[in-house]
Amino acid sequence: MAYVKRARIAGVLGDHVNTDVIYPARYLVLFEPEEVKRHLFEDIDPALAPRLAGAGVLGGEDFGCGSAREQGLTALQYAGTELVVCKSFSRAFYRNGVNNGVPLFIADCPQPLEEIGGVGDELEADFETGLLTNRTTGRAFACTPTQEFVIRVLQAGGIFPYYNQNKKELS
Amino acid sequence: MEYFPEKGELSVGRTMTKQILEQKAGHAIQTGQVYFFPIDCVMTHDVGTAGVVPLLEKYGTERLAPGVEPVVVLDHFVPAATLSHAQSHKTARDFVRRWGVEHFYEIGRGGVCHQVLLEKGHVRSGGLLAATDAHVTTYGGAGCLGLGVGVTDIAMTLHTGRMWIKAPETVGVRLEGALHRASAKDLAIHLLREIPFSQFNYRVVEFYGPGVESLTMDDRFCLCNMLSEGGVKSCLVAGDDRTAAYMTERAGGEWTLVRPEEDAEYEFRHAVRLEDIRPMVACPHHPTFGKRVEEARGIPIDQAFLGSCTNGRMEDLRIGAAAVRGRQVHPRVRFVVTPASQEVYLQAIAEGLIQDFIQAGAMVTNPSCGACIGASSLLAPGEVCVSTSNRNFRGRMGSIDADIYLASPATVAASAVAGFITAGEEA
Repeated sequence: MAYVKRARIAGVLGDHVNTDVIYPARYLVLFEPEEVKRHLFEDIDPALAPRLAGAGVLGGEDFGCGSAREQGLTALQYAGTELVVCKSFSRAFYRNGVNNGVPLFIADCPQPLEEIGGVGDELEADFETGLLTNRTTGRAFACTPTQEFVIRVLQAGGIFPYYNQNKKELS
Repeated sequence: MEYFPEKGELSVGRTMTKQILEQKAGHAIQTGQVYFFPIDCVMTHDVGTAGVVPLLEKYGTERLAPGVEPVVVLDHFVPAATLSHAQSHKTARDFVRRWGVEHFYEIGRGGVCHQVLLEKGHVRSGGLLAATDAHVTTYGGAGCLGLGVGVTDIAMTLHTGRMWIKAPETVGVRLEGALHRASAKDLAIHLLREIPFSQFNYRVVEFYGPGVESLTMDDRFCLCNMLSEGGVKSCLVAGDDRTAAYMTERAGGEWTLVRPEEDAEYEFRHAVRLEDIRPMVACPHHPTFGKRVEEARGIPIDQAFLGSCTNGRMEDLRIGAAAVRGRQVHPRVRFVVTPASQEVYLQAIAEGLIQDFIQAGAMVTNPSCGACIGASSLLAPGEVCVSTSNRNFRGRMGSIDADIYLASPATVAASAVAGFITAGEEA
């Protein structure tokens, strides 16, 4: 069941980053990937989105709070974000991550965000053991392992492929 | 009154959440485990529906899952002010026709989705409902477990009839006494300040105790709506005679009253004496930044907004109209009033409230999410708004450089007249 993801951190964000600043409500009608990714973090840091391709985001508590809008998550996905590590996530944002197969790692270790890492650091998240390692600083952080169901959905690439793989048991 | 029947195989000491989920599952469930639950009803609004359409195409859906009642409401960008909004409405209408969706609330025939689902009886006590909107927690006021999700969850539920849910932990809030000089909105802002996110996150908040019966249904909807901002999975209020009366009048299907069993287990417990609650205001830029109104008193405002799925109901409009009746909105302030639904709008006309607002110099708009989501009545840079809505994030109602204070209808209306934040003379 091993599920390990590694990415260089391109952006560090604080607590309560809400979906209105991740993806402004005025673009809610857009769903095309090329259009959606253009408006990621548009109001707070328009330069961030292009840097996220193949990279990771580090955030604080309650990441993705507010609206359940799926573009808050898919905008990150379409921009090419490979790993999101936060102290905690809002529940709807987390569900959207699981459903779309985007690795969201809950870094609920006692250490504060600043100790986990900064921009440019290489983070490695082992979802099964809950071990988060900063490959740049060499420090390791013990976090709660991700639930088995969630790992299986992430491995499948999202809830739709997961459902197709397990159709017999689920219907 | 009817309660869920006791069955030998079900677990004991059950919270309301567990009773609802076990009834849906048909067997005992364990907190923390994931199950695929049958969903009674799914609601999508204009933008949610537009997001579901391409997913059903991708899934190759041939028919919508039987047993799931789909409801579509146009409310977010109403009326359409841009071509892209007009297109999303058209996509929603095409969806309704393509799948034969029986319950569709067209512009001019519905209003703000959460109010419409309550009024039209899609919300049933004891039910399990999912929607593409976080304020679905509102339905907890009527004993219905509402879950706010993204478009993938809704599309998968329409495709399969089921949705994965991690059986959640719960927080119990015992209410005592009655609100005296404050409203349900003040209670909600108080709770958002007092109870940390670490307790709310992923958990359902259940309200019970003798204080519940003093809360009107509109109070309960407001409370459950606003608590969404604490990061809760949902909210539930223990059912009583008021719930039963509301369901009898509205529910379009079977319903069951739900109350926590006596030895129900909660991960966290809180108790609130309603008499102790005072008018509150949530300061920029987060709903949990609550203060007593007197601490913010005197801050000049540019706009006041009375409306939204939090506070656009009849009781809210009555309070607002009483505060401005025979007075004038402050010359420096524009006061935007948005009834939550066509039904509320008509009733407000019948009671003369709309006339009160207009005579006082307020602008009454059509029912929609409007000002709350920054779809209309936008704030310019540097402006300040006091609002009965539920979110004061940066940029929520327009400019990223505007300040939003969240408050009760009484505070908002009094502030509209005064020109600055105030709970009014009697508070």
